[in-house]
Amino acid sequence: MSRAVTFRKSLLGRSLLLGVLPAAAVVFVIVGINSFRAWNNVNARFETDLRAATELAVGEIDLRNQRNIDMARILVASQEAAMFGRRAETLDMLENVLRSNPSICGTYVAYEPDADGADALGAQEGVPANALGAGGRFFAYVKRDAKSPDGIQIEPLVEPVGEDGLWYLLPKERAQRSGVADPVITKPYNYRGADIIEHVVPIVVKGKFVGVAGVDVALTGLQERLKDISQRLGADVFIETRGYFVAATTDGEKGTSLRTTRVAESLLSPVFRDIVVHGSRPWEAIDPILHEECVYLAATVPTGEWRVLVRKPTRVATEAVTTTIIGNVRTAVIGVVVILVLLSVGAVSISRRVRAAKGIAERIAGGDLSGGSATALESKAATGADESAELVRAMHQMNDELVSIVSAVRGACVRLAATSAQLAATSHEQRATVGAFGESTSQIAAAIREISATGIALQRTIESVDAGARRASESAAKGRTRLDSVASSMSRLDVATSEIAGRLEIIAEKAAAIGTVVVTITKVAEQTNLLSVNAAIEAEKAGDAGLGFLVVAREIRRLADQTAGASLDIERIVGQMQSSVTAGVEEMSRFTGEMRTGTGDVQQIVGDLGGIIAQIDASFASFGEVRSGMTTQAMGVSQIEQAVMQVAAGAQQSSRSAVEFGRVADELAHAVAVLQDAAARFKLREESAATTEEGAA
Amino acid sequence: MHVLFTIVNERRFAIDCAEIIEVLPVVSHRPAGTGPAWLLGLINVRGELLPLVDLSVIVDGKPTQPKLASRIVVLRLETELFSSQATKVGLLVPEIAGPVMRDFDAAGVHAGFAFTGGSHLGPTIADEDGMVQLLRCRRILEGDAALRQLPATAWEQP
Repeated sequence: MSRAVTFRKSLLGRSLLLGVLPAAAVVFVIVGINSFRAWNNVNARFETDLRAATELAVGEIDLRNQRNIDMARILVASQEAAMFGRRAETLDMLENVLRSNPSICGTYVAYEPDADGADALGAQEGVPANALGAGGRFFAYVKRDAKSPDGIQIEPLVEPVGEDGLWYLLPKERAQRSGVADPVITKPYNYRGADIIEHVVPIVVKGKFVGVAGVDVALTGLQERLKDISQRLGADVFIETRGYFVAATTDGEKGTSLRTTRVAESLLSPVFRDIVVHGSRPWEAIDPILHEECVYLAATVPTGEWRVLVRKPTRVATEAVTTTIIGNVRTAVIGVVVILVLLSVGAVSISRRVRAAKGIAERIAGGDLSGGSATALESKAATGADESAELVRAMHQMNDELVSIVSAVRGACVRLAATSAQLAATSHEQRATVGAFGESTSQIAAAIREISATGIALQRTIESVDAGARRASESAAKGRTRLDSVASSMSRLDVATSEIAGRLEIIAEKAAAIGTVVVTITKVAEQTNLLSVNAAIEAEKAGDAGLGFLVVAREIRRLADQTAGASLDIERIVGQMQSSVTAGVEEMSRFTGEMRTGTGDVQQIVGDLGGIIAQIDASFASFGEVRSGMTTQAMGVSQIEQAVMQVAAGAQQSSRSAVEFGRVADELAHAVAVLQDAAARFKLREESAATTEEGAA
Repeated sequence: MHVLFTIVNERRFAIDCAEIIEVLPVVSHRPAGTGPAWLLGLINVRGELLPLVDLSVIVDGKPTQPKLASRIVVLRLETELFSSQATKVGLLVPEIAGPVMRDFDAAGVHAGFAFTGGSHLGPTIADEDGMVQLLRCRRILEGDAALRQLPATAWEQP
């Protein structure tokens, strides 16, 4: 019965399959979920960081712009309030503002040509020539200069022409168009060697544009501040206005500076185009400069139409998460391996003992109880303290117990077999005897039933015959009486008939005589008729002389016609009478003959009936005897039948018992045989020794 | 005039009594064996042989059925056929009635009866028994060519 156990179905295999695999699966699922969450968190935080950086940069820039614009507004407000046209005081004010605000690098006020009506005066006290533009217009620019003794230098502004003159032309154009003093922050440009941006506000006096006032700010300050922000956030910041870069925390391609470069000419131009598409939402794209996946976020600075773009490579975010996930997975794998090793050690030990128990059980199942082929492994497996060792020991004990049981069973089997054989033989004999007896009884019963049925039928027949004979006797007696009277009536009828026939013959003769007379009369009448016709014709021919004769002839003829008609009637009637009489005579003579025959028959019947009545009377006595005898016989047969039926039923029951007994005996013999077979399968110690000896011999 | 009625197939015809010699019961005749259908043969009247003509064949086209009332009317015909001599002919009729007085001269003319071969039929009148037509017995023999083909001796020398 030993059968190879596949690893999948073995103890170790199952414990691995049902224990380690689910545990490992659970561990990996937990690790997976954690990693997924960490990934999501990092992404969310990454976006939050990016937004914070953008807001910070935007706020910083806005604040700067606002402050610079405010300074420009102060200059303009003083001009509009009282100082317009007072050129010397204006120059002093520009110097004061520049000195008191270290963040700005220059201030200026420019008038329209001859706006204050003082152009023609030229340079004068407090207003040097280098504060005047072309044609003497007030065009003063006050800037820092490290070379001059007081650190400040005044010089005329450059005439505003083309793109470089936008600082003047743009606010002028806006103020003239709307009539409102709208501040303008220019694009950055290089003014006499320095990168600056200008914050310009138009001066509007009495609704008329008269000039501008503004402050210059060097871009270097903004650049430094943005670099701080960029380093803190690990992101790059780009600021753009009017198609130019204002500031950038990183250089462009090949180390070129992005500042004062046109956006459209830089590699970042596709990213800036995408701002319109994504608005204030972050988006991801491959950066054209870094050539890797980056997240971008754009924002607009409220003051000064600036746009801020923040760029952060996604690699920065994913690196941290990837490290965490790899750590988790490593821990999980190590844990699973440890569980696997521990479980295998325990399972191998249990499995060894179970295999030993299985070997013993297979040997017992195979019928070997000798214990001679116990292996060293099985003996070793019996040592131990856990349940599997107990199992092996119990198997050994069971083997010993089975040896004693099988020995006892074998002895009992031999004795049982002898007894069952004896029983079977006896039951077969008994069954044959009972069968024969039952058959005979059944035959007797059938014969008796037939006799009984016949007797009853016979009895009924005799009874009906008896009744019939009585009725026949009575009927015959009545019939004889009636027939006697019929015979006498018929004799009288015979006589009367003979008389009638004689009279009819006479009538026939008379009728024939009448016929002859009538024929004579008819002939006479016809001749008379003809005679009268001819007479009439003759009389007519005779003319008037014959008139009287004509009347007579006509009368004769009428009479002759009547006579002929009457005689025809008589002739017809007599003819009918004659045929009737002839038929009557024939009928009468035939009837007389039949009457005579009938009378003779009736007398014969009367005599026969007398004989029948006498015989029936005589038979009544014999019928009575037969009937009583039949009744007695029927009763006797019925009693015999019942008795035989009882015997037959007994015989059948005996037969069934015998059959049942036989069947039980056979079953017993069969069971004993099976038992012997089963017991023989077991090999005991002494037998195995004997077998060994036989093999040796 | 006085006429004698005879009825052929329910039609009444009248025969002028002036032409009648006598009325006889039906006697046996000797069949002619040839000639027209209406010529039955010869009869013997008191030793004189006369031709027997069937009136039914003439007026109805069918021979007379023999019955008890049938009669032979012996006629005396004034005809130019046989050399202005009067001749006698027996006429077999189904039955007779009369003689009675009837006036056929007042009958007038009836349209549609003046065709050839019908000259033996005279004028028709109505009396209390229905219509009756006068027979011109003389014309019976005149109107038929077949009769003239008979040998004259058969009639003149009995």
